[in-house]
Amino acid sequence: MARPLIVAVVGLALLAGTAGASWNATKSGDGAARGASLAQGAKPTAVKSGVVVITVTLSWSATPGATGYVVSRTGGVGSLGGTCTGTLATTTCADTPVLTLQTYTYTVTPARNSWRGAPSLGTSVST
Amino acid sequence: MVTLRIRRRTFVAVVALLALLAATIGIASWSTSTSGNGYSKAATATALTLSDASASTTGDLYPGGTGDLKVKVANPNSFPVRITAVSLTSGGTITSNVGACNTAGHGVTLTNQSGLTIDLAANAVATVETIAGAVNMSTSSDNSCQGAIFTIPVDVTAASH
Repeated sequence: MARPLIVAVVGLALLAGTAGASWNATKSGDGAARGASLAQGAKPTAVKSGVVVITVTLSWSATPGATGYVVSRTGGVGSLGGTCTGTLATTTCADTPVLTLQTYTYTVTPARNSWRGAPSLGTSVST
Repeated sequence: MVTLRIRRRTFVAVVALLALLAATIGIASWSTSTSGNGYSKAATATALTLSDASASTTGDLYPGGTGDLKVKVANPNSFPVRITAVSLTSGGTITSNVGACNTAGHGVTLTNQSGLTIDLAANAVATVETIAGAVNMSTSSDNSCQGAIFTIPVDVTAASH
């Protein structure tokens, strides 16, 4: 009389345990991520304007991933001015005033916080 | 006769209690974080396998931004599992494949993930899983870290599903 009952109780208990079971495990290994890259800056175009006060207006195409641009100028006398100094959030700026009878070469470097892309090819302007 | 009935009932009760106790102990052991403990499934269960996912990474990590974590994982078990959490291995160090980047400081960190619902079929071969936005890069990450591949030691937690 009692034996079947024992078997039934034991069976039900084990079944209940199996039904509620779940496998759970943690495995260590390596994941991966990759840093992006800033491309070389696009070569700017330069347009000279003005007679008394000469201005060189630069514009360039955006570089993917860049959030800013640094314009550099070499050659001639004086230093970069106008709206072309510092890190720019735009893709255009005006270097003014510039001296006459000078030849300047402009490059644009893409930036994103601490990263810099390669400078663009230079664009020369004679004033 | 009466005495015999009491003994049988007592015996039944004791056996039942022992059986329930055994089942309870079994359940307790199945929910530990190590594999293969207790449970009938766990008797043949093995941990997931992780392999190199670097070839599947995309360059999406910029200074001051977030990127995806890639893990390549296989499920050797005969039952489906769900990845529920991914976290940086305790004491683990994130490194890149560029020496200068490691030296100057890459600023890469992992945001531990929980509540994930990444399902792997039974006997699933190694596949690359993406955990979007889990990797962060500081704004001061060195310029040499452009294009670098970062190896991130992780603990992947999974449960039968």
